[in-house]
Amino acid sequence: MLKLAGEVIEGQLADHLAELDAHTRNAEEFIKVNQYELGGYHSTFSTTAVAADRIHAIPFHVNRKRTYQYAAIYVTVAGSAGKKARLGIYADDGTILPGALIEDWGEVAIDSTGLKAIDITDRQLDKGLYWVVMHTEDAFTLRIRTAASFSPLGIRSTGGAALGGVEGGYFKDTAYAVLPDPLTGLAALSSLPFINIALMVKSND
Amino acid sequence: MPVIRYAQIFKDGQLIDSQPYEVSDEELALENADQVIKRLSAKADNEMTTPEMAQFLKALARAR
Repeated sequence: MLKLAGEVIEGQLADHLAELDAHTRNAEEFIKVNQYELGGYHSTFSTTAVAADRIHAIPFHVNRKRTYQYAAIYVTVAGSAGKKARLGIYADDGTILPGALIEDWGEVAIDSTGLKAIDITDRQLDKGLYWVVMHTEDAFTLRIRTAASFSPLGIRSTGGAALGGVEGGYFKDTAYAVLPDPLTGLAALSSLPFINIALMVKSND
Repeated sequence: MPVIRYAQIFKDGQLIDSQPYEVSDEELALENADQVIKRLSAKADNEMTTPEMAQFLKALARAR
């Protein structure tokens, strides 16, 4: 029995209040399990070369509480032998910037092409904005989104591309290492697109 | 002809599993285009031959 200020709520209002997702329903609440997702901000897909010793921070919106199995990138042109990239996730600091480190997921090899995943078994995330990150040990090429139609960073407001595209994330040039906590000193990634750091859905919770 | 590749799964920095997946001819062509772009982008302008310029343009058209 649902009560509000001591009064029993019935009928359509009770049904509405009992539906936890009543005010959050959108297509991305329902993503097939065992499939990768990119945290919204979809677009056409392409590839891009990334530099060595750079942290890329990409917004990742979780539309409902979910549990994830893998975090992955897709290498299309390999880096040098033995080189790696490190993946992880940060909380949003409340100002649309990465804040505290939630988890450093460790490394994947980037010295061959193909899908490179890290087992992040049972990493549960509540609804909200997060930042997935990749730190590169070497230059290589990987899958990206070219120009999402929406970004929490807004659209570019300066330079030749002003009002001509969305901001794709942040970057920081720093020597390859474990992920810093917190992640500070970031610059806007105005001209670069969304790096595809995908998470595989284990369950919609 | 499609080829079988293996998704590499890591944990704690170690390779723990390899899962097969199929890569289509179209996807292979796109990967090859990326490799051509990377290789020829590294060349100085005056070192590029006319066939390489043609190869570069075709790869760009295929990849973008």
